[in-house]
Amino acid sequence: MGIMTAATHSLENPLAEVPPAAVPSGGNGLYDNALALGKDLKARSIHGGGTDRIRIQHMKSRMTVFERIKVLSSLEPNFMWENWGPNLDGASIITGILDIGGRDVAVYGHDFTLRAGSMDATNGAKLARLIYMAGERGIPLIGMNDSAGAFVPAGVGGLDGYSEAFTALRKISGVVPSISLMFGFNAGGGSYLPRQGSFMIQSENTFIGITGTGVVKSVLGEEVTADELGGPGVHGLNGVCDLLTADELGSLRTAIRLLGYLPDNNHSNAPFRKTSDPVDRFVPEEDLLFRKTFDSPAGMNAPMDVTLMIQLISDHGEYFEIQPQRARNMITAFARVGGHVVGYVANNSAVGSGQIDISAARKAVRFVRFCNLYNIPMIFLEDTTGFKPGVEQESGGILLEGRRLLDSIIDLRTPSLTLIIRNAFGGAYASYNSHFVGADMVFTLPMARIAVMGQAGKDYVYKDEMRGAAAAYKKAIASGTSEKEAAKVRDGVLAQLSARYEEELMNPKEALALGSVSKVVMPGNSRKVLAKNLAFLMRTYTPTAMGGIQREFE
Amino acid sequence: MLDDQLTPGKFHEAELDWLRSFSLTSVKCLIVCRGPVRKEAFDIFARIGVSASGILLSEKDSIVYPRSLAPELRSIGDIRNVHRIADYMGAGQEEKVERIAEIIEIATSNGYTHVFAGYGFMAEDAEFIEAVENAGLCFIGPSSSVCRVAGAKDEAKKLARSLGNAVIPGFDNVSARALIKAAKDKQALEKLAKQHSLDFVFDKDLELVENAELLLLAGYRATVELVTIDALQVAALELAESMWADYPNHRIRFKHIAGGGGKGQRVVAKPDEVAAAVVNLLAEVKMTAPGSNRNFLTELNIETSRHNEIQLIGNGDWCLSLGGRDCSVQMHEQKLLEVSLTKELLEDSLKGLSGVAADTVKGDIGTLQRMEDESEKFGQATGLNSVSTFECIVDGTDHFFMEMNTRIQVEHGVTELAYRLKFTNPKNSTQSFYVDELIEAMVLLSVHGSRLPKPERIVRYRSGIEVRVNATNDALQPHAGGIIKGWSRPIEGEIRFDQGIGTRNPDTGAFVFYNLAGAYDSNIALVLAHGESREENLLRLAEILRRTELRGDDLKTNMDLHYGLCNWLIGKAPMAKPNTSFMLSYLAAVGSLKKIVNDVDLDFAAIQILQGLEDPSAQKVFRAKQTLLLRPLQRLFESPHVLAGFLGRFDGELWEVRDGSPHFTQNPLRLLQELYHYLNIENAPDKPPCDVIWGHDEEIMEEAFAFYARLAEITGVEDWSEVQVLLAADSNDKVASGNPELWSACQAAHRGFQVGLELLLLIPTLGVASEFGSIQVGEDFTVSFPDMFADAELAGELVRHLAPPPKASPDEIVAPSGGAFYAREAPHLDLLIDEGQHFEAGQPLFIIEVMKMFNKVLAPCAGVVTENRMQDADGSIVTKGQTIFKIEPDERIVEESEATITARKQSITKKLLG
Repeated sequence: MGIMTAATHSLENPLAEVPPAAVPSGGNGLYDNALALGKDLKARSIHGGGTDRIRIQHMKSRMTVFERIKVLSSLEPNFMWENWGPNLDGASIITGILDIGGRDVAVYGHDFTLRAGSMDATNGAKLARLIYMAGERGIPLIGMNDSAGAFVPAGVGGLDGYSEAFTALRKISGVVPSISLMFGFNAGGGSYLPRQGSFMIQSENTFIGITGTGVVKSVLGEEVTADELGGPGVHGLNGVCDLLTADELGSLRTAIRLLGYLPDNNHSNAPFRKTSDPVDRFVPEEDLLFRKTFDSPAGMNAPMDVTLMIQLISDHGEYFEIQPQRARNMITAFARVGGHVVGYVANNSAVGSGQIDISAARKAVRFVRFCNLYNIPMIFLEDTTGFKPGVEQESGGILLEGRRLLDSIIDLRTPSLTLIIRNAFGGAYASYNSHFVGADMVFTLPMARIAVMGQAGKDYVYKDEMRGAAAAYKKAIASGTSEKEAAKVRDGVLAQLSARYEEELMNPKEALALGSVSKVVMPGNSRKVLAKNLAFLMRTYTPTAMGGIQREFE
Repeated sequence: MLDDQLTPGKFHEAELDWLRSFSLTSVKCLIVCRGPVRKEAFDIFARIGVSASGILLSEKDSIVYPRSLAPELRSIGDIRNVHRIADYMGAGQEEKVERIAEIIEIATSNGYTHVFAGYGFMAEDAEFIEAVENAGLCFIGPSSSVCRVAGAKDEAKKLARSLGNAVIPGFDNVSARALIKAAKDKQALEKLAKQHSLDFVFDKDLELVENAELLLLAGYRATVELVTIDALQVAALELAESMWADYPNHRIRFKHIAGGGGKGQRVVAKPDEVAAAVVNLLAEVKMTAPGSNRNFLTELNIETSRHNEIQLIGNGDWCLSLGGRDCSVQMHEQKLLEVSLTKELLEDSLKGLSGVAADTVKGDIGTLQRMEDESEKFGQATGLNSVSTFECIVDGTDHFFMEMNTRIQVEHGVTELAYRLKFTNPKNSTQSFYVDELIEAMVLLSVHGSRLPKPERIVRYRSGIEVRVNATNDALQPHAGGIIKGWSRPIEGEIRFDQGIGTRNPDTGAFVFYNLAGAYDSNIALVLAHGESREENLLRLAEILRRTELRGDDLKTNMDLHYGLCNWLIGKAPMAKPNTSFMLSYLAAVGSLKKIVNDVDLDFAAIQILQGLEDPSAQKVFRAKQTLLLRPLQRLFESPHVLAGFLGRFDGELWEVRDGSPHFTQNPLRLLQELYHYLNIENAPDKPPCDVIWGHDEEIMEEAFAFYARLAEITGVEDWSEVQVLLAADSNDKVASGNPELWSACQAAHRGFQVGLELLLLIPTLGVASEFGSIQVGEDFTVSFPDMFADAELAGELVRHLAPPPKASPDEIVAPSGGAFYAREAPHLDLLIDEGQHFEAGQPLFIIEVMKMFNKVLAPCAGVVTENRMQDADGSIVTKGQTIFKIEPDERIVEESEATITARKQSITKKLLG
């Protein structure tokens, strides 16, 4: 409290009572010196860049790393390596263990107020050590990223710091799940590192990218805003980010919610929650939903929002979508069924007829592989006319992406169930967790149309009849029948064949007869049947780390 | 039930035989309504010991939208008590009959004994109630006979007239009048009856028009159409014109006899509005089908009245009034804020009043007394055997009977806070019990009605208030959808009926996301609070609203409006008496505020102030205070309603306006402190750090308050202007005797703490510039607005600023909200607009049905429809922003450039800074 200040303006109260100086506790000056040193070191570790820097952070409506930690848990954090680094300060990255809802979680966060949260060799090593500790102890990791990138004065040391952290995170990938929260402006290594984690959550007014807008302009001459280049609107669609939120608070709370569905590590189950929602109940809404959908004028072609079905199967109707902005023709979501966490992959006929395109396949692959590594059972809801054909898709490599989806399903070792809602044709049927690619059980609703192909199939199945109709048409014309009259007869035959195809082949009968499908589930019983079988499979499943041979393709 | 010691309990578990005799265990009740009352009733039934209760889900509760599963399911327990129906009313008479049969089938086959319909449409539908009664079930609510007499607005008015009650001038028989225009005499009526095989005998003692009414009733019973909508339109026009002859410059209100909750009503000002109004109001109550009772009242619209209502309860023998509620704060015919109006409250508020104010309150006590007396007589005459509401409009001390709602009303909780019921054993006056909830009383009446003694009303709290939390934008237009992602739990003293949305997932304890699109209507929740005076009540409510956190995606609610309005009332006059046009003017005033706030650039203002500081130490200090000052201002300016509340609450306390410019009356740091508190960003445990004052800012505040407190302690000077004089002096012996350095440090601290605080004057300056601050509450508690807010047309313009139209490229018309699309007003009418046609600005182009409200979407400009993207798509669901028409506008709007906007903002901000 500087009474002697000469400034004309101050923010100090000159009338404050000066607190009495601490009375030395005895003659041992050395001990007091040690205490003072200790106090100074403790203070340095949480001092960050000081008030001015903190104010700048706050002016951008951003919290400091310590404030963010408080949102994650009200309990006192257990910080690690508080003074590691040449400056004996927090080294612009804070690491520690946090108790979140009774679970140990490893947490790191860049301190943007100190050297803009940048990375040098020291804090790279510090971060890597935390990450390895999470892996060794088998606890999830939450990273709060707010970093300008490598600390330039540190030279190559900064890059090495990133390399060390990259390596650590890759090494624990598949061992413990991790959630990366994206705050502030993150470029280069600051973007790669978090994306090595399991899930990435981005809030509004943040940026993620290989480089910032300045570089893009100088190198490519492209003029874009940071939001257009790497804002949530971009990364929610391309799959870089799994979840988007309105603000930092939203991101932190979303992380806690997501954590509720994740296991601690690759050798334990996701948190089971005994449910108060009966699993043996009949669900009349399911019947209503189908009745309303299929009794509509569009009939069997009526689109249906499959999230309604997910809701009707899950405990208390709750589910948690992953990548909800991207490729909504394929829904990926966590939920609980009978208390067990499950991962849903569901074709959504309400968007693009539920066809599987490159984007949908990528979204699903990512999710299936995660569930596989972390012992999360899966439910596939099938209602698709197949992979999306066409020049755009072929040139984009749908074959590669479809193959990846197929392989990820073949590799799936956790309990997996398939429920066929309606369409299950051709290659999509074969690859989409059918019995022969590894589903533990395949169920079908009675409306299912399990067939080698849709209506186009009649050209092959009734080849002779089709030819006959064409010949009869020609013959009739030749014998003087009017074109209109002849066409009417021919179209009548074609329509009959269509109806016949629909009746004979667009149903689950053949698949049931071949044992490809376990049984028919009557609408309203899906929850019951899936929950019962899931409970059985989980009773007989032991969560273990993935092992075995690495395949050529991921 | 509360026993005589006010301990809650169940009748069948009571010790006294007399209490036990009111056991409700024989009741198994099916609840057939949606909205907040469903959960409220369900919880009450469980509390009072009925054997079981069931709910009826509609498709919107379950399979229409994801994340809108009825929240009640999370806590219902036995799922066998959940039943399903497509929707509640069905479209048109035929479907309604089907639905009624379906509901009764569900009730009887599941062993229900009672049916409760809350405040939905069916609650006062005599046809429904009669069907319930005929099926051997008991309807919890007024019986069908009461509904027939009192519920139909036309019949009720006749009865009121016969009892000598004041009624609004108008006609209640437009249908009969339309009929005798076509069938002009006895023969014609009889011929019609014969033609349709209707049971009708001409009664020569009655007028022709009364006979026509009898014939119409027979027609409704047989679902035969005797009067077409076209004929009704003609007759309505004739009636309206005859009224305009007597009351020029008045508007006329059409009100369907079964309408309610703002539905089924239209107000017209000109003859050419009549035809559409008739069609619209009938469509809204689903009475377009041939053979349905389409009769509506045609009455004078009382423009500047208040809406008061008396709560009634009766068992058929006795009838008791439970005080009143003032529901004048409403908009688009939807009530927003309801306050209790009781003799005890008014008498209390009289204390310390004199002159005009005292006379006004005395007048109000008299009016209330008359309304209560009339209502009891009316209730008695109708044989009221449950609860009902006697609705009046009040103009000065005059009141007119409007209608009786034969059901529990949304705002019943207000009365429950004001009075509790005390039932005493007529044979043993030492035995008694209390009932706090009217729904419980309704169940008691339905089971034990005839032997239930007439209760006494016991004052519970002096005041009760309810706010309706609705899904509406700042201009109070319905906002479809939006996902609620978090809602803080109710605080002490808060009663919240939220349909169960706040019920956490019982397995995980997590808040369950809820999609509002699935809700019954735009009403999300009701929030109630009590007080020992209106002021204390408003303060408690303001505190509840201040601390409520409601978060979500694309979520728009009227919480800010309520918070602002509560505070405005607290600051201006808690006993103010807004009339029914108050809300439009108030919104206009807030719109005017918003219009100016839009052009305030706070960062620029800060730079202006910084540049005006020559002293480097002043600049440094100002920079250190930047977040302290700018953060709350930014938050305050984000919501015009919240800003409006602050202006109302603290005008005259923290600043005063002299000669058109505001001055601080206290240390402006006090204003800053109040602002942090008002915005709920003061430091408090358990709040996330991003929602409280930043640590470094709090340190400055603490330092400053310590300084001024110590200064006041030493000098004894507290008055702000004196403090300023004191600190301007060259020395001060009390503070720094012989210590000039200390004194100059004090002066430096004062300068430092005060530097830049003129930014805070922006708040009252906005109030002045927008004229929001000129709203006055008179000695007689009436609110008067500057002309530009009072004039309906000008007000409408200003309200627009609160709801900026969605950004549409000028070559298309997009859906302003999600909902069901309709290209025409009713199935038998033409398209509102078609491809190739020209339209004028303001012309209705299509209709979006949002939560049962048919909203006409008006053309933002004039142009031609070049492409119709919604060909034959009536009834289909559209999403917000979806293209409906491609258009070629008559005039291309020139968009303002970024530079123009910046320049304008800077010049206005400069001007406001003064």
